[in-house]
Amino acid sequence: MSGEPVLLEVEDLSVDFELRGVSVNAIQSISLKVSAGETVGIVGESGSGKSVTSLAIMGLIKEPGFLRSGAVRIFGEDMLKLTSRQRRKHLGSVVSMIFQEPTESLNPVFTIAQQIDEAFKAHGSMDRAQRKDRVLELMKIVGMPEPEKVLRSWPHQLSGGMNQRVMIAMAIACNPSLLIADEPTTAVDVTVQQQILLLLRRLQQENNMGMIFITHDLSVVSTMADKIIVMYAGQVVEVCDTDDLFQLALHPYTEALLKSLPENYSALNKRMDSIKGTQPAAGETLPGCRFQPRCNYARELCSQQKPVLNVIEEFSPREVRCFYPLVSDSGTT
Amino acid sequence: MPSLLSVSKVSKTYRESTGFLGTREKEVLSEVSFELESAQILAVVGESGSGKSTLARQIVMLEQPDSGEIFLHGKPLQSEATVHQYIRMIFQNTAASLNPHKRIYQQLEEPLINYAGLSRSERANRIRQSLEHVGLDAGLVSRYPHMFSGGQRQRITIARALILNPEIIVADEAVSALDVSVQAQILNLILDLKDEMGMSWLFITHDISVVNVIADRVMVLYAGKVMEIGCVKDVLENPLHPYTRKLLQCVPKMGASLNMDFNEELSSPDVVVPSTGSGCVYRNRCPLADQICGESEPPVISSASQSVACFKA
Amino acid sequence: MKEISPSEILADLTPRQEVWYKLRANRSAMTALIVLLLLIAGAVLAPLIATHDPFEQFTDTLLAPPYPAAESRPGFLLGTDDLGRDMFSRLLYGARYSLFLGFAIVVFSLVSGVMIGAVAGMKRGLTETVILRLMDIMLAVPAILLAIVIVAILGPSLANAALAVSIVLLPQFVRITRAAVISEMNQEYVLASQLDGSKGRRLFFQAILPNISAPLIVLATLSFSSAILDIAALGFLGLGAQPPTPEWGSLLSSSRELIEVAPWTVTLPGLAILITVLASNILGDGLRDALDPKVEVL
Repeated sequence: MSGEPVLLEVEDLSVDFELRGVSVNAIQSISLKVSAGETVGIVGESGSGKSVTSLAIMGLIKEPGFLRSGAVRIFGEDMLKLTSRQRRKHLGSVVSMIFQEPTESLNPVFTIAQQIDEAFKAHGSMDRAQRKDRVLELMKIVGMPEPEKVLRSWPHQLSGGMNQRVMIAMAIACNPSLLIADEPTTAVDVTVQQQILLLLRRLQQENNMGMIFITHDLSVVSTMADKIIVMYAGQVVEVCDTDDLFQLALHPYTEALLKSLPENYSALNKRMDSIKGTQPAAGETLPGCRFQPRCNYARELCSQQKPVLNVIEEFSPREVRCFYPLVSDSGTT
Repeated sequence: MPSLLSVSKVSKTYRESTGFLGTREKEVLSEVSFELESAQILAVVGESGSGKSTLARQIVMLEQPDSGEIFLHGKPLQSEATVHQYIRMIFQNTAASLNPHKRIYQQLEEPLINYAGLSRSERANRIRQSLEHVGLDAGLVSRYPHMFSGGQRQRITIARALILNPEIIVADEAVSALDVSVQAQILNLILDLKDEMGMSWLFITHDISVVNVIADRVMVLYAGKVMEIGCVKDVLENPLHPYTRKLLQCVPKMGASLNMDFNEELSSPDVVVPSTGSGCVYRNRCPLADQICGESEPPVISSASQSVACFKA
Repeated sequence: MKEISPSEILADLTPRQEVWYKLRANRSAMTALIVLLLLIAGAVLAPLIATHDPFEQFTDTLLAPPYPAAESRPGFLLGTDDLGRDMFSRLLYGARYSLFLGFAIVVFSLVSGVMIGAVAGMKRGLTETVILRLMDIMLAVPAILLAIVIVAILGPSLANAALAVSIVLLPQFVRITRAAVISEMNQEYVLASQLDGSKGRRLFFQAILPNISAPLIVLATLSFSSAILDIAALGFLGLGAQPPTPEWGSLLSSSRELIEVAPWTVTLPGLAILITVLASNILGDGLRDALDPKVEVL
């Protein structure tokens, strides 16, 4: 993706929540870059901080959460330094977001046509006739069957997949440069998921849109993303090009995650590889590496000091937060 | 010797009201038949609208089928008390299936109070054993559900299911809402329970990749009808029904990129829309469908380990 | 894969602790609670705190104004009424009637309302329809009017007035319970309880009741103030407490004509009613917020 303009640059983003007088850290030092036409996948389990990250990028963190540090630069301009009004104006036409539960994200008392219209009114300056044309065009772009009928319907009358297409239509209505998709296919059936993923891929290709694809599903992200960021317990633990990641994971957590996928189940030992223990809760502080209690490869240093994100030269572009990344197949370094 | 569970041509229709004084009938299950043996896991695969949850409700006697019969050890299901003890159920939403205002101890005790006829200390013992069986610390019993993680809550619901020593557990999307690493732990637990206690599971899921891990046999449902049923190995390696093939093809595989024809994909309806009239329910989405598929119900073609309902198999 | 919310991060409180924690953060609710507790303390300790016997007439100190007016008499903190009875003591003992009655009325309406509502919500069908229509009829008649009719039939006395008010407050409890029960019956944990073998009464008390207590507690607190007002109104109309019972409403009624001559005989009972009702309403609002799991006050 070199040569393409950098749409979004997140630098050293940290978010805390203030609860009962105690500061609880939700995400720590998150950095990422998205260029036009590129899809960056953020992968993590629940509690890893991936949703907080996307909300922070959109400037949607509210009390009791607050940004401790970091910059979010869109086309070079730091969003976090703007007032919320300036940010809304700037973000609305440049960045869009779609969410996990499409039927719940839509207003149940308005028809689809009314809701898409709202999206236009907020950001465009088209007259009524122009808006109507554009709405139909959008329906066609998202491949909606029977667009007229759908536009007259209410969200509860449509399926989850169709509502997600409506959400996507609303999101691309103003031709955003960057689309943030937060678990867009988690709540739909696998056949619908395929349609939604295809749609997103096609939209991206046609508009050279940058995309951040947040999910817990490694298989899905492997088909969509060019680059993957693995998050664990509020931190980035590995950054890598997609193909390289699935060939060889360097962080023990990533490796363990890959092994615990059902598709990697081997009938020989008749049991799945699972990671013992559970992810530390936000705010739980550990003296050393946050994955150390569950790590199969942990050594003494790991429980004493906190590893930082390092670039691994031989596997560049690759960053790993580990004192002993799994750089050789034998598992020992 | 009769199968542990035998479901024979079960059908169920729901009546929905369509506005003012109108009602519409929707056939949610249509002549579903299958058998489940001891220490066997049967996966029921289907998308939303396939009728899989309705099937679960018939088996645990929450509802009565409109036609067809269900047999447990060769005898028809009659007494709720028997069914509640022999066939237990766990759900997808762990937070919703545990009462937020009751401590875990009370929730585990309830089935014992109703059915087990044990003294208080005997109940305490059983509860402790059940929790240990699922790998949870028995000291956690005085807590409330929201104090546990999703994976722990699912273990608690499994403990609640186990506590009456059932023979069958119906798991309705039991791991779908769990993180991958937690999912792996729960799947291992289910396999352990099958091996150690000879427990049978009716494992309902929409995630076909999990089927390979956990199930001995798999049944594919579409619009309330059985499309294909057989040994997991056979069905996954050699799917005979076009719908099974479609499901397998839709699963994102690691490392593979999307390379489908976009327009062809988007034009097919994304919900289970059963074809009306006579003929195969799947024909309006089936790439192989032709005239014969609209004329009558497809025949069931069976081999030793696999059955499929299709004209084109 | 819902992201963990802040309140889940520190989820080490039992549901009851969490409610209390949220309530404590609400200053006006806590003030109201303290006021009510003081009133209750005053009512309970009346025999110890009251300066005089509330029925004793001191004929040489008729209509003495409250301290610190010029003509106030020593010992009669809040003055006396037209029969020379000490206002402070009468108000204190009056609190006993009002608060106790309010409490008894609410308990009666709550318990019977919940039972009827539970039957309606769990049985559905014809039973539910009959119960609902009955409650609708009761709600269609203005509360005071209904109470007056009941007392007129039964005869004027404090006990009958209390019964009448209980009946008047019943439909609200029935409706709320029924709605809450219907919504609970759709919950998965109720389903799980049914599969555990619980049904009918056991199902209600074990699985449903713990979860519907929130709206019921709020309604109970708000009904408390309604009950006090209704009893006072009936007392005012002479249909409730009979003289010389120092119930606040009757105090208002019997001193009506004195409002220009000795305003304290009217304003003080009125103020007592006002403060009690206000405090219980504010507490009710605070409880509603504290009991609502979606309101996060951290």
